[in-house]
Amino acid sequence: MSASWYIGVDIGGTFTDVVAVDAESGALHHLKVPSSRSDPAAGFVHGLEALDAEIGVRPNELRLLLHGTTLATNAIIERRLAPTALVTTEGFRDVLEIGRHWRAELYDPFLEYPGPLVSRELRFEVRERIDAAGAVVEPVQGESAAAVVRALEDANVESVAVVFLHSYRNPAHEEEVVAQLRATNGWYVCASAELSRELREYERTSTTVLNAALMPLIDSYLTRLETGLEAAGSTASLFVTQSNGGALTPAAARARPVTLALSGPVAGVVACSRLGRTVGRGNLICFDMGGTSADVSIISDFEPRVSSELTIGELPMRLPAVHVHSIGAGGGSIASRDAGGALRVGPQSAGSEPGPACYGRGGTAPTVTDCQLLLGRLTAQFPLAGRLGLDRELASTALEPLADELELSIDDAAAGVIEVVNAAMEGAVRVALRSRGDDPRDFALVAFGGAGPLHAAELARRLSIDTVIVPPHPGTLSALGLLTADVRLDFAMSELHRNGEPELATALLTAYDSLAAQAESEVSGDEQLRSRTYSSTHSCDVRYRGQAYEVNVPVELEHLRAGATEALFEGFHQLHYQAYGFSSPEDECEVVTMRLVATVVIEKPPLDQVPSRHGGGASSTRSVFVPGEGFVDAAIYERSDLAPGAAMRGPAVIHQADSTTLVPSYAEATLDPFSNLLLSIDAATDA
Amino acid sequence: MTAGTNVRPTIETAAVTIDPISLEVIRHGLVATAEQMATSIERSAHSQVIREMLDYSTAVFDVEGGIVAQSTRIPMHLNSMTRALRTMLARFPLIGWRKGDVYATNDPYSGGQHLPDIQTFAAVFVGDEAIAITGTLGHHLDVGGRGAASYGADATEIYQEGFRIPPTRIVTGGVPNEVFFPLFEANIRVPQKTVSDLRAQIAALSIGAGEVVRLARRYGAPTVAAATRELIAGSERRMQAAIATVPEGVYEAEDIVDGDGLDDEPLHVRVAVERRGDTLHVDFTGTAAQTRGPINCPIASTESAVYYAVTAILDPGIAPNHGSYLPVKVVAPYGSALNPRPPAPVVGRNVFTHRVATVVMAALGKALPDRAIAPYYGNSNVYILSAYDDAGRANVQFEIEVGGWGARRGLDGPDCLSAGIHNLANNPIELVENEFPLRVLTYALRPDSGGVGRFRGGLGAERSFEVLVDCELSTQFDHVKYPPPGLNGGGPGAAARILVERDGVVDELPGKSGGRRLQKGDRVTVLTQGGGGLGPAGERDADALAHDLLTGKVSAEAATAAYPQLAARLGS
Repeated sequence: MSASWYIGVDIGGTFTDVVAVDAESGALHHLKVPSSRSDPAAGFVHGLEALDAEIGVRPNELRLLLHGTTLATNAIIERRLAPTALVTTEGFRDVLEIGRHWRAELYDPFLEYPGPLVSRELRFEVRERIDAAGAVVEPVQGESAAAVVRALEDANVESVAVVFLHSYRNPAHEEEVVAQLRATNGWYVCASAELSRELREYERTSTTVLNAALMPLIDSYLTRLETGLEAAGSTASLFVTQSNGGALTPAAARARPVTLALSGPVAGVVACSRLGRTVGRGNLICFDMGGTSADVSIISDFEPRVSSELTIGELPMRLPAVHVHSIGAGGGSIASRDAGGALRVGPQSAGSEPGPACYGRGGTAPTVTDCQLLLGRLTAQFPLAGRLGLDRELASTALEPLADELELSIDDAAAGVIEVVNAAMEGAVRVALRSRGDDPRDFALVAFGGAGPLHAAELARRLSIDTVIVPPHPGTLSALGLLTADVRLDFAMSELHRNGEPELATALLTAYDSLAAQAESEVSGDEQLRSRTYSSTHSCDVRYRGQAYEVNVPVELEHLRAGATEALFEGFHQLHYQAYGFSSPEDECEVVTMRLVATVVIEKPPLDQVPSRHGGGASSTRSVFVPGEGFVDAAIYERSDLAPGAAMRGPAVIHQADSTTLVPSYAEATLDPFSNLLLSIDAATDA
Repeated sequence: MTAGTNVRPTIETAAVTIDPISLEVIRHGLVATAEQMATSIERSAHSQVIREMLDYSTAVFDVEGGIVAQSTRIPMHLNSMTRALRTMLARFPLIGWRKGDVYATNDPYSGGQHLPDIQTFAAVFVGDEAIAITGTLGHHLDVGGRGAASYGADATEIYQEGFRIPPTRIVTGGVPNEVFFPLFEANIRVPQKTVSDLRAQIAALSIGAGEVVRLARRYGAPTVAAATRELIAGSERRMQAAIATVPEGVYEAEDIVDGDGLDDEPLHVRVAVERRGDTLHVDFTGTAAQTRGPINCPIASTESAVYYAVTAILDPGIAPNHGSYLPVKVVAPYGSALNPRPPAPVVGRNVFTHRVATVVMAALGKALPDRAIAPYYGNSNVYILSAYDDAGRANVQFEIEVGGWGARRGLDGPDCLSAGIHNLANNPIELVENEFPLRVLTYALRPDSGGVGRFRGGLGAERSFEVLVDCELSTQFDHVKYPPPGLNGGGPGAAARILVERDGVVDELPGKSGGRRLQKGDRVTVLTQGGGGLGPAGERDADALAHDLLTGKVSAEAATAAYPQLAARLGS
């Protein structure tokens, strides 16, 4: 029996989604199993067992496993991290605690701020110093380093992070101390330059400490996973998705677990980007709405926006990551009345436990999902996610006190809650687009996640967007996205250069040579990658002198080899203009960070085959609330009955196991040849 | 002061009532408008002050100049913009504003703050009717005057502090004023950056206007107008309810500013806070007369700091707008340092504004012990290094250091974190060392600097560096002679210090000095203020002190001195 199955496994807080594609037949299956909070690796293996039991795919038939997980994210947010020590340059152990010393909340002086990731007594200093040019001011003082090693042996830590000033420029001192640490004890050790060779000591320290603190957790998780897979008889290669949208081997994930921070949400964006190529839409707003939050990402010109300024739980991570704007608006968001009398929705959420009142699991606060149920857009007879039944009575009881306070009928209150949550999301999307000067009308909206397709049409109309795309399996899009990723390895190195300086091209080439050597050593050192080919792209971060933010500019090594740097700076002025609305070609420019991205292509299963369908019509009608019209009879469709070419005028509701799509009266839905639902939205007269 | 009588009654507002859903939907729209304006400025501004330090703010106002919705940037700015706008409307009634007109001012004596802060305003039109006003405030790198960055530490008149823009129309029907711009550019040091930043502020006004117009088209101009009224009224009701929780009475607090840098006299800040019904009267009678040196605090800044303190203590969750400020009445005698008479210099107003906030918070803390918070570090600790490179180009390093927060009821004060009326980021050391010839030796928390007490004040910071070239140092520190006081029995935080070491000899500098010459190899150490402690030291929790000893935030010696019994118990 040949191993022909490609499997994507996306572990979320509540459910684990499994997608299986057979490279030979093109068959595609989805499964949803409960996640195991106490043992996520067991949840993964259960997913594979379910695949065997329900679909008959045996573990030994698996070729490739691609995995996305929120394990690292949740560990960071909930601070379930390994006890970790930090070793810094003498005089700078408090950099981690002081941070950039600004606060996220302006008015509340009574907030309790979480302490630093490493408490002060576990932060140690070594006497050494390197200057901004990378020159040694003072070598590592042996006695000082030895004293730190002794102190660490008395400290009860599993992991040690080492961050010295200017190590992005010259990592020798970090390497020297790390070698001593690795020779001494069984600690997990991470030096900042191994992870991020970018200047800004606080951000690099935070990134390195997070990485060190995640290493034991991710190592033991991957070990349990590998053991479980082996025991089940699978010999498939395993890859994990990282925040930059690419995949990573387990060996690399063990060394750089912090790159898994956005492993979960990013896979959905990668899937959207592929979807965009399939349907020929380069500008997409990815709208992923689940139980507790809505994640919005922007794809422009077919590429997800990547930035190096990711923050999780207010902790910065200086690693390239797909930019995800998270909005505190989900199906579980709670509606309430504020002290001044206004109606508020969120940010409090009933989450998945107890969940919306209509889940019947003890929730009593009215949520967005309760309101959708009351408005007929969801139905009690059509359980969410294939497993949950919904109770309309409970939803109504939960909303009643709020409706009374607002002096509104239950229906009007429910419609109001939906309108408010949509207005909040509209505002957030507008602000996200404005940061690059984009106009929403140039985008299509891709709706996914359990709740996305229910809100998408109304949100699109508010934004004057004329097209909504609902992919075939919106609830498991992220799992499918896993299967479309290649291995992406990021290498970066900060070194300040000015335009016009002599031998600039040579200096840049030297830096890229060094990055290429790192890439080569990483690929050849990884047994899962060694035999594969890879390609490299080069770029650098450039800014106008005195500016604090850089623009990433593609670099052609050919030009540099010819001694030319003009194209680079011309590119910078152009990109700066695109991003910020102005350029200053007469100003001095600084190159801050050189970057190399190595892409190792991994084989992909066929994903665009569409199973033939019989093409059924509306299965029934139901009374559904439409804004401005009240309750109207809406046609109810089963998505699995629809064949490509099917066209449905709203008002209609399209059901499928993992989501529900609302087609309002001002929209028409069609099924495209790839089984995507396309909603064409009539322009609002007031837009 | 109100411009209401000058306003053409453009929209029939009185009859329109608004339902709670439309109100919340429009509120989201207005807040997103202010945020988009802010994002637009961040995107297109040129200078580091705006782009890195985020020292700018944006807001939407009603046609009478009341602030309705604001972006989350700098509290100090937002609370004050209504005064500048109303002064503008008194000078230029709204009836004369046209589409494409932009009005601007930076005049501290016309409702502004200090000259580097330029405010711009434009009306939002639906058809010919003005339905709202959008506004921005940006701190500019330089607006001229005797000192680089317009910080003249020894200025004695506003005329020395830079280019003063009284309420002025700087753009008419989309056309920049041909007198104003060349005149402005000729009087400032980095005209290209400053004017670019000003253009970014102007562009943001029209982005904001576009968004408000969209809301008006969707919901109807009368509904949007009704929403702005109700948003202000809602915040007013909520603030009145919060004020009603203050027991009736008069609560006093005071503090001392070291001096103005020219005359070395202590300057008292005194406040009496009285709750009368659902209004709060905040009276600074008894505060020092205006000073010769440039630390006077224009009335808009004084009011702004009071509004911040009241909001923070009484109801930080409120949607802050004009309504939340209405029930707070500020009295600052004309001719005092908190309401100076022109032409008193004001660029260093933050020496006083922080203190206005901390004394008001301290006074309210006496009224509401559960909301008590001791004074924080209380100053924007500015220091500026300047040198010329071989090519004769100026190299300026500008830093503002913060310190410890005051202890709060139930919680120690956070260590070294932006507090109160400002919110700033530090510059990365690795960046600074790339930009300026200096080597940082230490950047650390300052042990034992937090005020002792049942709850400990936050720690200040210690930064020391060696300069690698000859250069000049200017500073504007305070709480050097008189430290941040404790509250309700807590001890004071440590005072700030500035030390210069040359050839092993240490020289202690005064808090405020301009142009101190440094030689290559000199080592400068700045130590910032700790926050005040709250409650008697005798009530400190043993575990809390043990943790302070473990982390080294409190030394054994200091613990023995401040908490003798507890320290002895822990030691045994």
